[in-house]
Amino acid sequence: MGEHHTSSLPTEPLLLPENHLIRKLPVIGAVLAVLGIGGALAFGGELRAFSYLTGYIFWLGVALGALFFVLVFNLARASWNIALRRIVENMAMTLPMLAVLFIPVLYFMGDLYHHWLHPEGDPILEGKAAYLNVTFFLVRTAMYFVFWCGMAWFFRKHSVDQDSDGDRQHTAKRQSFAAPGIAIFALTLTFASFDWIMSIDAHWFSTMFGVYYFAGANVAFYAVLAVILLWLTSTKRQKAVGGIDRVVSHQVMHGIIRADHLHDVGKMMFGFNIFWTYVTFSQYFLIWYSNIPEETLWFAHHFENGWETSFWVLGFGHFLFPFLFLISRNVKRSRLGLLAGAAWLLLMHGIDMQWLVMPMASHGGVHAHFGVTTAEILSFIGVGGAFVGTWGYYMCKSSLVPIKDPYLKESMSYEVALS
Amino acid sequence: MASDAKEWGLLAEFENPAAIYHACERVRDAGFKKWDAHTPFPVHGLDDAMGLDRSKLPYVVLVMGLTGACLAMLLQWWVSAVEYQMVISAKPFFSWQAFVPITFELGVLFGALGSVFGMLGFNQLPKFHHPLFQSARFERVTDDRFFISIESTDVRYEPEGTAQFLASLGALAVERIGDPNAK
Repeated sequence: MGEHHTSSLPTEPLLLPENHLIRKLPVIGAVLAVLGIGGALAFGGELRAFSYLTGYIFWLGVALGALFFVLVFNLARASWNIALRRIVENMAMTLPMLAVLFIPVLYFMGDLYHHWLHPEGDPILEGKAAYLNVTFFLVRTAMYFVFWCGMAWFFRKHSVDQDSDGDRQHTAKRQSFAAPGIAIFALTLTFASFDWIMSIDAHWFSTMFGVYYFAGANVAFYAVLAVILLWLTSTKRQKAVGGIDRVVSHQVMHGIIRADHLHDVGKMMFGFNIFWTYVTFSQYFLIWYSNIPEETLWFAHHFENGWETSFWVLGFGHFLFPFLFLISRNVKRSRLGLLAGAAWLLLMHGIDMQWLVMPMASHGGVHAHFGVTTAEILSFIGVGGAFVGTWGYYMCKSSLVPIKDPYLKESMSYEVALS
Repeated sequence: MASDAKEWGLLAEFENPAAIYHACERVRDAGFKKWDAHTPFPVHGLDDAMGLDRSKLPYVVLVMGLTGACLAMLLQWWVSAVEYQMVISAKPFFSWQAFVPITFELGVLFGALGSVFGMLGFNQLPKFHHPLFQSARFERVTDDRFFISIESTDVRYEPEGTAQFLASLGALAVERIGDPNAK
């Protein structure tokens, strides 16, 4: 019964080997962050505020996707994810760093949110001033980060502490807090996307906007997770004289995270991508159908200056091609297939985030044409460096698998049924 | 090699999941094709031990789903843009956006129907009776016993040889199952 999958259950904490690349990530990440963010802010030109926000919300989504993963699988008492849960808990611990990296957004508030910062004489914006004002905006922003960082810390603490004492109470605490945690997460993510992205065009509103950001963020998170897991389970092979490849060395998670786990990560990525399509189309469809100027204006702005190209690129590139490619079980179970799907979807998520933010820059008197600015690339690398570096820092600090989790054995012998 | 026309096949009884798991590996390796394993609950890894191929059901679902989606789009195009043109809120006759929900729903509906009826078809269900139900011993398959059945139509089937082979796999008992249709 499953003998062919048996891998030995780790009893000692599984630590990163000396000289592992992840041990150097905090330094590499810090250098990338300083160069990337510094370069974007110093030499980014007139579009630097919008460019920085684009790079920022890309990585914020990955971190929030990680937090949601921890919340939802604790809530569901799922066991398949235990073997890879620590890696994800460490990804959620980038949220405090992302809170610090929100400072440039605050600094550029005047560029990004000039519509609602000066509502005088505009009856619509004056009507929204009770919500969209600087004080309340800052209070809400602080609240989002307090909740997110608190939850990321709580779930990682009750996971890491279990490594040493093996107390099942930690599991119980995580599971019982996950229920209110999901509710808090849903509200904070929704309002954060309203405040930070949707309010760039303060006249416009869409109640689906939070779900839109959530769906795309999860696609990006599972894509990043797939890339990380493929890396940490990879093997180095050598052509032997007889012509049969021989494994000469393998990465640290090889044998713990198996094809069945990667298959599930691929399925979650595929599922959330269909969900993204569903939400994206629904938002567009309702606005297209009712055809009311106060709603359609947002799409008008996002169809100017060449940005309509992004709309079509997303329709085919974010939905149709990945749908047809990743629908196959064989592709999701193939290392190369999953890597290609994940890398492609990360590119598409970048285009999606850019499409949300950049076209609006034109309404501050600066023209943003379809294309990529240097500041966007630098912001992406800079915030990404901070993300990866922070993740690497936490990866060095504890065992890579929750060794005393009561469901670890179940997770490691997990099998996707033949269908 | 000539199989008895009145014999449906053989039924072998096993005591526990480990016994049937290893027995299945041997039956698979012996090259039998028309055989099955019957267990009270899913046994992990039994699919591999039996050497089962992937189900063809996903292809049925895919074809049905695409058929449903295409039919829906075709129907809406014909109704709205060809047969009974009507201007609705100043939009073009062929407004693909408006047709997406029905296209999606009909794709899902056809896919679901293909999945249910395809599953029934591949399993040759529904049926009123099965030769194995003649065995009183087989009643324990829903309780605490594990069975392997090999049909007499398998090219490797030999009335005596296969029975001995099944007994050699550690079966508690090997029973001959008659063919109720052969009378």
